[in-house]
Amino acid sequence: MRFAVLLLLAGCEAALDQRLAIVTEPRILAITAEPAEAKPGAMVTFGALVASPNGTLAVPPHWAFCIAGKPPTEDNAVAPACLADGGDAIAPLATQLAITAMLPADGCEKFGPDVPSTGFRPRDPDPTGGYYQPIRADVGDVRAFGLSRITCKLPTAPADVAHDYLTNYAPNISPSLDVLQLEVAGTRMPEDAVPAGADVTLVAGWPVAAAETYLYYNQDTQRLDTRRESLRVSWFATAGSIEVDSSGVDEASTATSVSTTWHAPTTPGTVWMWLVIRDSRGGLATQTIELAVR
Amino acid sequence: MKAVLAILAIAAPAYADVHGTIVDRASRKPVAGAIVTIGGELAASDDDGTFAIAAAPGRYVVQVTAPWLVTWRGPIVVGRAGLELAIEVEPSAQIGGEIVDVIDTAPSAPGQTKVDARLARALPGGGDAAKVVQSMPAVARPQAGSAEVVVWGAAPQDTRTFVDGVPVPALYHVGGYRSAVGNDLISDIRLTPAAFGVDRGRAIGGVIDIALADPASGPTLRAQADLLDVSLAGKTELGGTTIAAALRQSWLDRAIGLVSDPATLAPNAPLPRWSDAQLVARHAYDDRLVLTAWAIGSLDGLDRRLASDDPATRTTEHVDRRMMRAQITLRRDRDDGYDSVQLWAGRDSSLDDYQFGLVPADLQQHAWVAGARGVQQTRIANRATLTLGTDLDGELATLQRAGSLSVPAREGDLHIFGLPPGDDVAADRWGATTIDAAAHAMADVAVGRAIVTLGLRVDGWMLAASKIFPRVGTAPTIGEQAMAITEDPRASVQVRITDTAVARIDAGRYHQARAASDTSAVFGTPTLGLEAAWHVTAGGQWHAPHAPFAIEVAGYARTLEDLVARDPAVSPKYAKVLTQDGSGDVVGIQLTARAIGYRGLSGWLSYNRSRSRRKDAPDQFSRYFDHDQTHGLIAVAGWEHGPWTVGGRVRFATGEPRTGVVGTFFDTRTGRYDPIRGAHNGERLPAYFAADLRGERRFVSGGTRGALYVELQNLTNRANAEEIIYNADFTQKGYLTSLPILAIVGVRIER
Repeated sequence: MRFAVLLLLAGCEAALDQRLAIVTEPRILAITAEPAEAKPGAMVTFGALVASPNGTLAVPPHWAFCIAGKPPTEDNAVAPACLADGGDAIAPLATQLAITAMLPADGCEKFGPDVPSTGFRPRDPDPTGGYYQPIRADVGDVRAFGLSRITCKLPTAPADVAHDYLTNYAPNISPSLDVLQLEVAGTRMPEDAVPAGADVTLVAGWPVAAAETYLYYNQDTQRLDTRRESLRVSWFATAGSIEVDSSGVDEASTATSVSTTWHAPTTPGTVWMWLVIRDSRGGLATQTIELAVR
Repeated sequence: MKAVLAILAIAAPAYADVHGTIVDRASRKPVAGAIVTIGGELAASDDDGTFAIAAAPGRYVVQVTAPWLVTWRGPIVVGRAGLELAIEVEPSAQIGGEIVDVIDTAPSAPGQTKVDARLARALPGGGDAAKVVQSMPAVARPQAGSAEVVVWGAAPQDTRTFVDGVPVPALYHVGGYRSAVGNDLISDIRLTPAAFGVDRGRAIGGVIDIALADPASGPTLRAQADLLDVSLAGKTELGGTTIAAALRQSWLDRAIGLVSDPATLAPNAPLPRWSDAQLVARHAYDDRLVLTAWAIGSLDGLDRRLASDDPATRTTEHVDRRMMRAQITLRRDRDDGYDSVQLWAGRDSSLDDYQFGLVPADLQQHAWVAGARGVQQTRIANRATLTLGTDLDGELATLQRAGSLSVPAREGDLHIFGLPPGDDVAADRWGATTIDAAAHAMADVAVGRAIVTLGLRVDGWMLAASKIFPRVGTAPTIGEQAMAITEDPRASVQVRITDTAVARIDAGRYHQARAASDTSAVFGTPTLGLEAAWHVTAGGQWHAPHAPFAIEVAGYARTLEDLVARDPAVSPKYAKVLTQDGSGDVVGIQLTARAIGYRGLSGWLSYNRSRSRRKDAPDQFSRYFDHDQTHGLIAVAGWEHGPWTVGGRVRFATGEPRTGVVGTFFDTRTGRYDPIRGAHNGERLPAYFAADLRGERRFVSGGTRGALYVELQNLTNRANAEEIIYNADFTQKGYLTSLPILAIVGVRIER
């Protein structure tokens, strides 16, 4: 019986690498926005974390706003037109490490629930009730999009609910990370003395306030709910291997840390590690750690 | 194994021999290739019309069938000394002989396939009769784990399944392992892939007709068990009414559970739970007046879970489907035709609850369905028949949906397998009513060597949605009702060119209502109407009189109009996410050679070349239909010899179209790469090939008959590609492959 059952299941899974934790070539790991949520027309500062096998690259990206909306059932983060090198879908900004730019004023119309005129369908929000202005960063051949949360009004809510939301909704604030802790067999390790080949427990913590509560418009009940952000931490390193790509806590959890295991390389040297913490409302923060494996 | 063989050897002498000869009633010539059924045994008559069947002592109904014969039935009592039979049969008007009467034996349409359930169970398919549909010539190779049936390039939802004329929502249980309409009580399965008659409506693809058997024809008690499920069937007689019942319960998930957690072991391999039950009663008031009533039901469940440390990548799926139908039919046969009236009702429920990370996708649907059907067929002249009918079908559905707009996926979606759905979410609750009252008339006239069939179906539709705009607060919602009348002419001309060759052409107009699930003011369009199609089929059949072989060629074309499709606009109109701007065309040719009971061998060899294309909007380029299969070759055979039955299937099919990935970019909000897609359905999965074999050995022990069977699927152990998969950054490409060689062993016991 066991043989037959295993036969039934074998072959269904193909082995393709689904991991992103080890950085083997230049990659944009994160695009931060400060503030994490703002109204269209507000000034926002964007920064990019560009990682490489040799550490963080201080290469200024080419910045551009994506200004083309996407069809409601487009699964990708942005419209295909925003992938083009030119054209009307892209509003180029500048080439610099961090950029402060004014969010397009029509963001709630292009990417939110505002419609150009009556008779058109309002765009739907993400599962946290949010809408996002895409911004593109190009570093060489590497292309990434950040999505900056924009504050828009509720489209189809009853007037009293919409008023309460407008009055009481608190825009998202980017989460923050405590200093990464490294432990080997329960003993804390300094960053400059990681034993080669050791199984290192990585503990990423955050302040209690990092997981904010927020008002959420429930489209089914047409009422406002109070929800709590979920948080997830993505782990990256230039060497060794990491047990999982990301760890996180869901909305029901009040935990303030997550952990995983990093199998340190067996050869001594410098290893770069990056952590990206994301809240479910689109806010994110990063941490870069230089480790010495001895 | 030695012990099993020893048991079989000891059991074999308990058979009694039933010999017989079949002759043509008029010519007295022997009839070769007719299929003789006695209880659980099956044989074909030889060239001299003789047959022999080993059967246990007892009472039976003998049945002699062949496509060119009027089915003959008669009761017998088999003693220990055996029995000698002399059976006289007569040819049907369908094939062979002078056509003098077309009542109730309308000639088969090009591409139509009808399979007796006994043969169907002998073929690879786990012993499930209705699984034979997936092996029929006009049916595309189904994906592993799929319960969908694609007939001559038609979308699965465009082909309708009927059980004794009653529509059912699905032919197969979730996962496609078993039929949802049972197995033990099925008599035969007929597929009309296009250009069906006026008695069937509300479909723009094909029609699958499942006929339940006379409950008297089954065994008193039958039990069957294999790796997939266990079933029990039986019959009894109550005051002149014969009642048969069957019950089936899966245990596949429990079998897997013995070795691992099925929810986490293989998240891509569905391990569903299913059960179905059927209850059939038949009462013959006299030779001509028969009342038949039945109730059937099915339950399906599926739970999958992909665990993860990361809440953004946790995936859960919960599926629950329920179906119930009950009907009562009164049929009266007359010398010049018959009258039939049928009432039916049922309840459908489905729950599809997905959670992809933080993105939900839930759809619940509950519907009451009911209908009535009346048919009167009369010979109005020596060579002409008139059939009049009414067909009422109604559905009252309540629905609730929440979550991603792109789940469930629609045909034509630019979706890359395995990727999470879009995270735009919404919610809605609504109701939809669909009522279709139809009247139809069909005249069959035999003129010389031709039979001309002219028919007209007139449908009166009432389509209603509870809300034409999304609900806002306590503001009253506004619903809508729309009425429509459609007039669908359908016609066929069959010409007997020679005594062995028949040519036929069929054409017709077809309509079907939008799905209730598409009428949401948030996720769909409440004002959707009817989808339409024109069908044309033309073909010929060569069949020597009384020969057990036939060769058929069928060409087909379908144009599809007003198809429901997504609005590709960035900003669709309010409460109009779906449009009816979709269109399509299907064209193809099919060559089929059939053997019918030749020395115990029945089956077919069929090649199908097809092209099915779609457009979701007029200004778009035409693209391949998601399930388009350019080439399909299938050989299916079942061979009966004494207590042995061997069935085999070999299939080759072109891979289905898929949209490739030509680049990628990183989405820093989700932390994953998004694909840059190539041409829509611009590449294909690799070609599919599989060979399956099924063997069964029957035995008798005392008054108990039984069988042991083994089915080997994918004999060549070929890793057939089911989907294209990619690594995390889309720099590597691979395939999700189907099951390797798989053995299913089972046993059947009956009295």
